[in-house]
Amino acid sequence: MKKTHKITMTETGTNDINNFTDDVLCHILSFLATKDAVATSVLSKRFRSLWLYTPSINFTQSNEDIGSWVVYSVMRMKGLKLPLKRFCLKLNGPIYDADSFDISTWVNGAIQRRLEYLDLSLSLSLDINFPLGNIIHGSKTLVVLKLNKLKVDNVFIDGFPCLKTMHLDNVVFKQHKHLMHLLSGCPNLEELHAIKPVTEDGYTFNADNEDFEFQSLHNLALVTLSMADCIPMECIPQVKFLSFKEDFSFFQASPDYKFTCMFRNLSFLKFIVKVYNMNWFLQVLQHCPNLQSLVILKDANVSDHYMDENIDVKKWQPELTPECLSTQLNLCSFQNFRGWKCELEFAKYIMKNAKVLQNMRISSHRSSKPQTKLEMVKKLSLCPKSSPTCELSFE
Amino acid sequence: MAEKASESSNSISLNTVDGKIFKVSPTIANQMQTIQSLIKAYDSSRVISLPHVNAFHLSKIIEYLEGKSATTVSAVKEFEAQFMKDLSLKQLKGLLIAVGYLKVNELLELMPKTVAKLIENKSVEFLRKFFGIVNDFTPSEEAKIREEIAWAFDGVDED
Repeated sequence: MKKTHKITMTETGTNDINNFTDDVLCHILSFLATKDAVATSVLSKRFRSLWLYTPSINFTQSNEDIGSWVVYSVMRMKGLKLPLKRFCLKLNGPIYDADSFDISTWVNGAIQRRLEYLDLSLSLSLDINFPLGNIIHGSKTLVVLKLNKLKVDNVFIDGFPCLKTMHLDNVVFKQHKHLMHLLSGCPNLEELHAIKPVTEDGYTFNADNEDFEFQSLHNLALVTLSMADCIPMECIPQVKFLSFKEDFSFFQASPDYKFTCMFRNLSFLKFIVKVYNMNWFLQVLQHCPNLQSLVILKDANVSDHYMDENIDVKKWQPELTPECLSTQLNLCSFQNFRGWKCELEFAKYIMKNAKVLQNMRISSHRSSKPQTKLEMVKKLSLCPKSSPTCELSFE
Repeated sequence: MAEKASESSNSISLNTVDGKIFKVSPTIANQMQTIQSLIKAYDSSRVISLPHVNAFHLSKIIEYLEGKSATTVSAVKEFEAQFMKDLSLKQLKGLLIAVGYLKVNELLELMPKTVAKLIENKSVEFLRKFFGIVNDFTPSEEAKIREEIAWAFDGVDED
């Protein structure tokens, strides 16, 4: 889709536009930033008020020099009767003359128009203490909720019964119970992406600090998490695709951390890691008896030979073999592989123990030298494989 | 043999504006809302004429509807990217008109998104040329609107 189309006069007949219905044109405008959509009102009489009928409002960072009056007037012009499905507001710096009162007014106004998609990204550096739960008690129509760099210090009383997708990026929760309340208010959630949720009170679900009973999210199939201790694993028992984006500080800080539930439906597991901790990988694998695919993606920017110092690779000899290795796992993929000892050891371990493995894919880090790659290929090709049909491939 | 016969008796015949007849399966036809309502209105054995759609556009729509039934999410994405890439600008616009007429919902999602990418942050002159729009404002009318929405013209790309 990146190919750019060159515009030549031979390709554009005059009055092409008459063949387009208003519906199609509105649809095109709805994918534009509101600023660009408004600018089309100068094209011709037909376009004069066409943008008003697009069901979306989309202000992003590039509108640096517009003031809050612009948002107010766009909201007012669109009126309450016209439908609004998408509302997207991304402020990446102290660019607006807007305070939390203004933002509350806009978001609340949007929610009341039967909003389906809300994408809010506020720079925490604005130091807006945004009482999200005060202004939105919940929504019966919202399907997608994306929050980025903002602080939540309230409980959403009514919840989000229709919500299917929730993305939380760098969201600060004043108390851990605010996060738990938010999740339990979304019983139909299918996709959750929670990167670095921070709880100011420092509580995790392990801590014996509350009598909050959490209902498990039975439709939740796709989950990406960092800092696994923020969300109780018990509430995602049906997960099918799980990614851990992990800085491991939590695992190192609490090495006794234990999973207490089994992910019986999990077929795809991905680790995005900076630090290799084979014991952590194994602990998770123990809880995924039906795992089909395992991907380990190493953070490309880690330059040191960085692994958990507590593990002596030479003596690494796990006692138990996870069930999925003997019966299910058929694809294993290592990305940004550099051939470091811990990586080689874990790859060897998988090949030695995965009885039905079909594909072992290694893609090396871009900076790897041909010489190193060759040695990696040699070393791994000589390793014993317990699956007779396992194919080893290098990229 | 019997299976083949029943399949062809189920299939729906579409006649494009340039006189080419396409036979499509009900699964494909049902993804075009306009045809769905035409089937209901006519007896199904009749050939349905499509006055606004030519053979190239219909074949592209069928290619899309058949191709996107790929199994994985990433395979569908790849297919869609390639499908859009293969179209020239003229084809893209023509196809979008046909898709709007036939109401192929999935393409009505994908194609406007692609068009929006092509026109984002572009000047008024670029957009008029792109869509073939005749400016029916007087210079003073246009100047007045530009003044009203001056904030929307900050930072627009040069042609």
